[in-house]
Amino acid sequence: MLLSHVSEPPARDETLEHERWLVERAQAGDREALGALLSRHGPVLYRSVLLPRLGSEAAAQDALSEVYARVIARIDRFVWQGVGFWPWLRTVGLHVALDQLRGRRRLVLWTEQDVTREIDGAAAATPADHAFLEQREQQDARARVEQVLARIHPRYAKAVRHRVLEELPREEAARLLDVTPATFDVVLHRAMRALRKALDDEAPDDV
Amino acid sequence: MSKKPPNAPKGVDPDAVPTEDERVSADALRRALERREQPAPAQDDAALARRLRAAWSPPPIDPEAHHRILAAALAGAGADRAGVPARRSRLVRVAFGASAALALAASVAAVVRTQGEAPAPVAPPAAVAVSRSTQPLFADRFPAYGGQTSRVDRIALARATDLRDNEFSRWGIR
Repeated sequence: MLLSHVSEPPARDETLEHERWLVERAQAGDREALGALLSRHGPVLYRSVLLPRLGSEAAAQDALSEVYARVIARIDRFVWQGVGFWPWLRTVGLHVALDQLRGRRRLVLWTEQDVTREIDGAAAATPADHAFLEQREQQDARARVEQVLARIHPRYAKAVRHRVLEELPREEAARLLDVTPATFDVVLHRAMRALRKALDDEAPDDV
Repeated sequence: MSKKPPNAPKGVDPDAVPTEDERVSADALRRALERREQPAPAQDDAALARRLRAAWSPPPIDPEAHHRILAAALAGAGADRAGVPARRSRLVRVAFGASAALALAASVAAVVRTQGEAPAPVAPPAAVAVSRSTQPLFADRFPAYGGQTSRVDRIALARATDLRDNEFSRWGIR
């Protein structure tokens, strides 16, 4: 009910023009239009930007709340630049993620430096559909994971890939490494320990 | 079972005989992965595994959780982020009646304003970087010869950062 009268686009265009219309209404004080914008982009921001960088659902949801609060407080300062609402929202999201990462020193795949670089590159935005944006974000996130895995023993990386990333059953992952399940458990534990060390070693280089 | 690839780090043998401590930790990790529960703070291995999964294949947000977050945000800055309804939101009921003789025909509840009578707060403009000397960028004296390119690079980098920060401030991101 909250978003009922903005759920249908105003006929002639259902993408950028509709979004621009929503932005203008939101800037004029229409919270329902703002709600429609956030309903459209918020879940994508959560899944493709916040959760991968912050690593837990609780932290990502907390960050999403903060993003929404900032957007609501500052929507009047958003300047339409022909590429839609997403680039601005994503940059707000990256700033919030950066703020959260500043409070942590361990067990993070993205460092402050990584996110700062992403913020630097955020100005080069072009209009794109959601599916493409999500796909690109996911590729970037996976590349980051691969980058971290490349720093540990390839056999460790293989164990992590099968059991943690691909979520194969323990027995299947053990078979692929040609070891017993009990031995696989040890290899995986060592792999995680090596990974933690690699991430810890990276931390002092942060900004 | 030594399968040492050519780029393997020296001194690392993934298949070395485990110590008792390693067996215990390995078993704890196995249980944590099988349970798929939120790991205890001390379970660093399990916590890192969850972070890897969150980056590799992040699940979508629970629609109810998102609805709560959005509703709380829209309800006002004073609302509890976890989803408690805003205390200051005002529900105005508008009743429509055909005549005094007829019973109340319908009522419509609508949230008309979320922050009392005052307009939505406007964030104060953030301070922006202004033109200034480049001297603070260089702590040491310049050598008699050379180094011009690196100095220009340093200035360009610093000013590009200023420009970016100013743009973000103007757009309300900071």
